[in-house]
Amino acid sequence: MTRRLQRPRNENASRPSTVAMLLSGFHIPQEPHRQVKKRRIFYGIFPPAASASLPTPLATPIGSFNENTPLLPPSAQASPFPHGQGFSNSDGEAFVTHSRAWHLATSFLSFPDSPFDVSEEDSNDLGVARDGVYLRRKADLCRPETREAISYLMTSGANAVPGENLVEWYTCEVRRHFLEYIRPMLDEAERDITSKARPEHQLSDIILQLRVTCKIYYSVYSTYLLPYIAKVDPIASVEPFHRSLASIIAYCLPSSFPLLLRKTFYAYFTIILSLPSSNSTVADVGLFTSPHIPGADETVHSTDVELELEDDEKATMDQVEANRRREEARSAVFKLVESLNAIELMANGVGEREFAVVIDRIAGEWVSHRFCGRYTDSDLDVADADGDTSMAKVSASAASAEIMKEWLDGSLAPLVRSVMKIIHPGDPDDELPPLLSRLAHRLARVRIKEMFDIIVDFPASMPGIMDLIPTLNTPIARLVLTSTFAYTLHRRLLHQGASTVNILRAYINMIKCFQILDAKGVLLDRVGARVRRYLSTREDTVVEIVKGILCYEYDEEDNDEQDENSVLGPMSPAKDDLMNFKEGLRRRIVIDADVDDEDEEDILKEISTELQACAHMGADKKNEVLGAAAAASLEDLDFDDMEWQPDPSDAGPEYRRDKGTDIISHLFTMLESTKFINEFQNQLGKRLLLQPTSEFLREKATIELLKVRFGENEMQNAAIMLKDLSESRKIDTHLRDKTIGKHITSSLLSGKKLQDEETEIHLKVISRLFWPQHMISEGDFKLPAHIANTVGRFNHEFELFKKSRKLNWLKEEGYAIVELELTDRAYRYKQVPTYAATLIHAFGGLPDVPHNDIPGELNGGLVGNAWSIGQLTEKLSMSTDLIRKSLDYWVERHILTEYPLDCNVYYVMETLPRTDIPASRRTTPHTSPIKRDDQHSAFVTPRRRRALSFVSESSTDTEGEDAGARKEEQTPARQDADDDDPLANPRFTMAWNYISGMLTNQGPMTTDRIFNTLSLFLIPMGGLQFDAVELDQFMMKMEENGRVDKTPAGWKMRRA
Amino acid sequence: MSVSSTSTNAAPAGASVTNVTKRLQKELMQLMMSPSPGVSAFPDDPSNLLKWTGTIAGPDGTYFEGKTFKLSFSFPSDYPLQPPTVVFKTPMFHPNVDMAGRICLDILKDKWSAVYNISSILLSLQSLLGEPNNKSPLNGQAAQLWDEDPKEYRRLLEKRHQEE
Repeated sequence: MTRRLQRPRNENASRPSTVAMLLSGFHIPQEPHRQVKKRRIFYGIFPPAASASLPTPLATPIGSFNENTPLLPPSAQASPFPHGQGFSNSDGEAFVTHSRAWHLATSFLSFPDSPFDVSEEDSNDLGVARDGVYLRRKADLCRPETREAISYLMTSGANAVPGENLVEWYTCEVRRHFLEYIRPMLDEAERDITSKARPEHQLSDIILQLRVTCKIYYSVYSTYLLPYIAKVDPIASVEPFHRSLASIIAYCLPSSFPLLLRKTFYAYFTIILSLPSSNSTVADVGLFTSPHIPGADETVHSTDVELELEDDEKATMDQVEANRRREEARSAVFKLVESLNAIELMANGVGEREFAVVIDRIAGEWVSHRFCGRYTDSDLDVADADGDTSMAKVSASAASAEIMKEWLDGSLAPLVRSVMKIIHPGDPDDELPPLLSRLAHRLARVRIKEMFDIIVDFPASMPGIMDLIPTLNTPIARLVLTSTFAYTLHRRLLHQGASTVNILRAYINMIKCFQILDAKGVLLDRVGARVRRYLSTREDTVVEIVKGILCYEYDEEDNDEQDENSVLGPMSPAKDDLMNFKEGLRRRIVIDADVDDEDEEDILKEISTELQACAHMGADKKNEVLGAAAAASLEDLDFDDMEWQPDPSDAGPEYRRDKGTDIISHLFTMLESTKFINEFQNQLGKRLLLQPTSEFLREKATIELLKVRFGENEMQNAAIMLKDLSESRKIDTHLRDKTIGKHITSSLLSGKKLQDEETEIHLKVISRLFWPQHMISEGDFKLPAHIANTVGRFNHEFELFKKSRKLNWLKEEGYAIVELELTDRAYRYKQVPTYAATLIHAFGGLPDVPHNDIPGELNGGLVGNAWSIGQLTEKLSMSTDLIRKSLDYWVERHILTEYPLDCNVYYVMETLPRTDIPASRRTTPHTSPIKRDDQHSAFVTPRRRRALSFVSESSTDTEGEDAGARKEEQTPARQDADDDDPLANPRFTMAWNYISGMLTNQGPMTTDRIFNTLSLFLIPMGGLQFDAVELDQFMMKMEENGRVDKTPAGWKMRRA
Repeated sequence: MSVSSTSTNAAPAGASVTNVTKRLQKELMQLMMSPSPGVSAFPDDPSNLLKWTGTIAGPDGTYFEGKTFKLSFSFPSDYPLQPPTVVFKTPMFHPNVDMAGRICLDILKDKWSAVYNISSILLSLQSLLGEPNNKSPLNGQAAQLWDEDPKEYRRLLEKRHQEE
């Protein structure tokens, strides 16, 4: 009866407790291992239970479940029942039988108190799955009575559900064993991870241990217990055990196991897919293939042999080796996956998760490796440098999408597919995740990062932009793009180091790119605003834009000048005799002064190109641009507009749909229009005055285009400026005809020779009210006489031509062509400001009080005419500032230079000072100075110039050159003649002053020291014209002359 | 106009030493091109123009006739805004020069002006030899003997000069 009573209790207790156990297995990771120990200690204090001496009277783990210690093995457990309860039972015999059977079965089934020895148990190594030592021994131990006991417990007995108890006990026993002995090993392995470099080894250790253990658990279960359950319900009976084991393994896995797995997968996949490995230690591929495979050992030998091979053979060997490694890695991965699968870690477990993570990461890495920095067509075509065959196959014109697809189909997908087949054998092949779109997103991420470079390289980077388009379909993606790009902009472009031209150029490209990406302009609006704001803080933005608008004229002028130069060459010999011409060619260095110092690179040609492009737009399009602003303001009020669409959802608050779609309007709206127009007038004015031609067709076109944007009134001044210029041409032609005609007739009448016809003057008449005021400078100075004459005649004629009007010459504006012929060089400057031309003309003559104190030769260069600033001011009645400016102009061009001892005196450098030290006496090859050839000059000079400009031809006069030449000619002769006075040698005159200075003050010095000191002081001045030997000779002569004495310490000044 | 502005712009604070060097180079050139009789000077070390040695010949008609005196010049880095330090290297017996060779001359102290140069210093010193300022002597004995006992003065001067 008691037994009857007991049974239901037992049952009731055990049912919920199973649940409790499972839950506790999951949720209470509070070191059950230690708890077990504690409990043991606790029970160890009390005397052993009476049941210990009996054949296991009540050893069910039920009681322990109630006490929430689910993992306590029955063997270590005291009876939960009160003592003697079982014996008071009248149904004792059946109980005893049950107990005996239980005892037999449990002691047989229980595991040893130690982990399994992997080396003994892993019997897989010969390729035949055999039972390990433990299992064989167990099979030996299995006696018939044990089988009977198990069979009794499983099938009959008092169990309401047959076998349940024993299975539960076994499940428990497995847990106990695993937690107590296997888990510490796993933990141990994890602790080793830091010390061991190879993740694969760790992984293999862990997996091997797990595999062996699980195999034993399962074998025992299936050999001894399963046959009895299977009869009842095969699947349902395995499932609880299976799940329990899987969960305990998953729970006990070292925390670094996923990482380990990930690393290993990553290493293998890098090899298989031939990606450049990020970590240098390449995974040992031979690991998961069995170590007994002969090939594994050969790896070592083959590397030794490799070293002795020739390079080309080595390359093929490398290829073979790489292939072999790939194959090895592939099989290793499969093995790994299989073994993980075997211990239930792969499918739906940590293995599959890590596998997916690694595949994703690999794909991402491949994308960045393949596409990073390669966004132009040519870049994309370049086969991978690593010689990866999968990439080399890519056809030349393949877009990145095709490249990705090819790689996916060729490399990644087969791999994934074969692994998935192992994991989920039943699944159909084609059910792969959308890898291609994943790759596309990865690619987009790469492109977003390099967006700035793409924009800088636009339009070559078009493929890169195309990569972005398909993924920019969500507001988030667009936001990522704009915020990343804005950051890059801020870091790389919008700072002090970037020139305005570069920023503008990037902005133009940006507009183009973002219009491709997003035609509605939301993205551009977001990133562009920042650039616009920044640019509007820069002073020179306007200047650069206007320069860009006007820049095309440079081309015209260049052609012009080339013509000019080509005329200069071949026509000359007709005028000169051949010898002179050759001489002239040899000596003449015609250097054309640049129109502008500006580098062509620095000019935003794009702007004018864009503007021209607008010109080619249809009229309606133009109107569209024109009316855009007006329309935009009205649009929201137009309720009949059937085409109306709301703004894009991610548009910013300042977004205006019709804010101009072309680049020019983007640029122009950035500026205040008055600022722009002023700057435009300035630059236009400068340009117009500079231009020799009067064909201002392109300027006209530009003004027309700008009128469209700014309105007729705004561009009125510019239009008038242009009109002035074309008027000027007429006036100029007229006046010139008149004056020259009159001049010729008068000269003919008077019988005088034509004198100054070589100086041609062209004038430009401007309406002062419409030109930028700062361009009208009132500076006044005396023009060279012959030019003043011509100017006077022009005045006269103009007054006749236009009654009641007078010419007011702006002498500072305008340009002259100046030719300079110096002793050793000749220059031709095209656009010399008039004041500078006047000044250099003055240097053609000598001042009233010549500067005789200036030596004929300074710094190794001949000294020409010299003027002081005061003298120049007097002669030219020019303001000192302007004189300084003019002097600077010529000093910069190495024509004039400051006299070292008087900063107010400037002289002409007839020959360039020598920068080298002539080691020995150098006789300059003397060439007769070119006579100025008026005819020749007259031939090359005439060019049309602006009204106020005059063409001045200035050159240093021939007399000065002759004098210099004479001096030089005489030098060698005198040198030899005046042996008795060494000081007469001009090479030593200055040096002697220094020598006497240093000998007087510094005491006796040797020749070497004198020479060294002299060279330090005199070389900068170009005054050292001898070597040490010559100096020694000179000193000797000075000794003869009684100026110095030779002492042991060196030369010494003799007391006077 | 632009000349001056560019040159000042091109001379940041760090370039003061080069400015001194430039100026001293120019002075050396002037000294060498147009030497004044009886005085001369030259840098000790061509690579460091801040130290010079000068020589003065004693003016005729003074105690110092026929003798030469060496001086050391040491230029501050803000020369010519500040005067150089000038010391007689040759032992000197003069009312305005102390036994260590230090000189009491107004233009080397508070009356210094940037328009003075080495040559003007040398000439001033040369004239100081002939016309000492006995009212503020550094060497009291010399000042006393200068007028009262020319013979003794000459003897002591000779003695000092031999010490060289």
